[in-house]
Amino acid sequence: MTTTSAPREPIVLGIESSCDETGIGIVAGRRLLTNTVSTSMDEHARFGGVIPEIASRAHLEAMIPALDAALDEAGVGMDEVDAIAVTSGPGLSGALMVGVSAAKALAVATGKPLYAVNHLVAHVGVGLLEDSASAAGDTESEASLLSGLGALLVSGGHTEILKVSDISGDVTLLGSTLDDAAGEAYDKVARVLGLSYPGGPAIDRAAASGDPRAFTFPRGLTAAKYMGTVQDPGSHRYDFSFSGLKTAVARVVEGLEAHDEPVPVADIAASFQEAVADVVTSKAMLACTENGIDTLLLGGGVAANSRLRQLVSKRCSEHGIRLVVPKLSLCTDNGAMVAALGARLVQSGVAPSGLDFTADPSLPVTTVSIGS
Amino acid sequence: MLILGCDTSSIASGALVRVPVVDGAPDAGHLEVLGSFRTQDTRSHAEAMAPGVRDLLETAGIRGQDLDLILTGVGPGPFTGLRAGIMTARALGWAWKVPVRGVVSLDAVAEGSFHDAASAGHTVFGVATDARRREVYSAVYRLADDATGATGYTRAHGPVVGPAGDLEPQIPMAGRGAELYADVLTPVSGHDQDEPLAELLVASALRTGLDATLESTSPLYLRESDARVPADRKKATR
Repeated sequence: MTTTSAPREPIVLGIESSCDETGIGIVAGRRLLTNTVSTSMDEHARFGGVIPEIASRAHLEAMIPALDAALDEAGVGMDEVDAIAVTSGPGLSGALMVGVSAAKALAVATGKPLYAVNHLVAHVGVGLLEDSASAAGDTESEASLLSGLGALLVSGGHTEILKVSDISGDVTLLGSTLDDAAGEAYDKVARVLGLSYPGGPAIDRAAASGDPRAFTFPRGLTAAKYMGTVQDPGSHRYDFSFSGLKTAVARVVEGLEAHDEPVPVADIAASFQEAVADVVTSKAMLACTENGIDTLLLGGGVAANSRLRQLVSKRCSEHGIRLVVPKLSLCTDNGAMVAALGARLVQSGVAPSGLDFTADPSLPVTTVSIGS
Repeated sequence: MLILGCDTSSIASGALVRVPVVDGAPDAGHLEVLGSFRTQDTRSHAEAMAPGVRDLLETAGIRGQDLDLILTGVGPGPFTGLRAGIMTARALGWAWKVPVRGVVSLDAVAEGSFHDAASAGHTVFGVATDARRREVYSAVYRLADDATGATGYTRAHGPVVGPAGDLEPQIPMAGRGAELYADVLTPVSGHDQDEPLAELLVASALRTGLDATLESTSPLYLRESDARVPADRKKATR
């Protein structure tokens, strides 16, 4: 490539393999060129949850075809790519290792700089892309997205509230789940109710005809001792717990079955969904208002949930918080988000990660990218 | 002819091999190892492979595009590490537009031990590597017994996975499995700590003939994932 007088937007190829999605995304600065995702979800269905070894095997076989498809769709060659970005954590160890190995090999083969990035921060980074917002949302200007930014990430692997002071280097974890992720609770409750996998859409569908007030299910970690006050916060003011909720649903179902009574699936699904959406959004609102967050990005696969979207939208507008919800294809795990964060790091002059880094299943959110 | 070899079925290793081509065929008897690397441990495959290959090429002054072939060990071996090497080889081959083919990793251990097995008067020997869970990955090789003495070996059985105790105790075994299960296995003398090495993997492939290498570079897992379909949901109440 010859250098041009005006600096062009960096073209970045992003690789994601932290769970059951093999994603390759390519961006030019804030412009999305392609987002190719191959999922092994169907192979996990009969187990009722993601099996790490099955996911890892699928990543290995999907990676090269996904690369071919991505370059083809984007209409760019590897020689035009300025940098490579890869999710190095958090996620499933064996799954991460496949993407990391592919990315390092591509970096060696092409001589391009490689950025090892944080999966959770990448979920936020996708909001920086032009036209990333869903049809209902506003198209945010980059500048407005970057001040007072927070993120609520809800998926099968994560339930977190982040404060994003600087997406290229200053992110703090305000709250997270102590046990199951919200999406995991959906999967387990779907199983108890005899619904299909993945549980999110199945429960959402069943809940549509149910009464969300039929059962009162617990909102985890909302007792005063955990919440405390603004001045004197408790130990888990912004944290979540869904294992008690899951058990509460199981007890109701088993109690009914023990007495040979019919299980009101729709009512239980609606009441469970209400409990999740209520606790997630109320804690998110607390975290936003108490930490100067006036723009909230919703990410993760559970962002597809109708009740969560409805309630977070309602509560954000009540609190004067601007809500940004990327298109669903950009909310679930994908390579475009990795590429988008990578492009931001390139443009911010952050040093690449080199080749010696390790995949880190529990990479803290404070590590946006791994330094060389 | 330039060949890059990779193997991560136990430790991680890589090698750059040059072999003269005579009458259109590589002359396996005159291969030259231009460089190689190996890890000491069996847990840093995803860290070691890419920088290892980069340094190999830089030191030799060779561009990746100049390679004629990449050979990767396809195991059997512990899954996560094995995938790291295969993914590396596939991605390098993809980016350089160089073909990638697979070789059974146990053959690399056979390559390193068959001379001594023959010298010791054996006609058959085996390779056993650590499969964890108190099992070994193994294969049995028959030594060529032509008039000139042992010039090679062919894999007669395997690769398979199972307890070392299920193997024929009288067949001498090379590889770490022989050391780990010395109570039930007889070693090929001096070879009970041998690891599969990339340079031996390439040498083995050349000895057997590159046409016999595997078109598929999918791992030889030999075991399913441990996942069980849940039979009945666990009761929250008792």
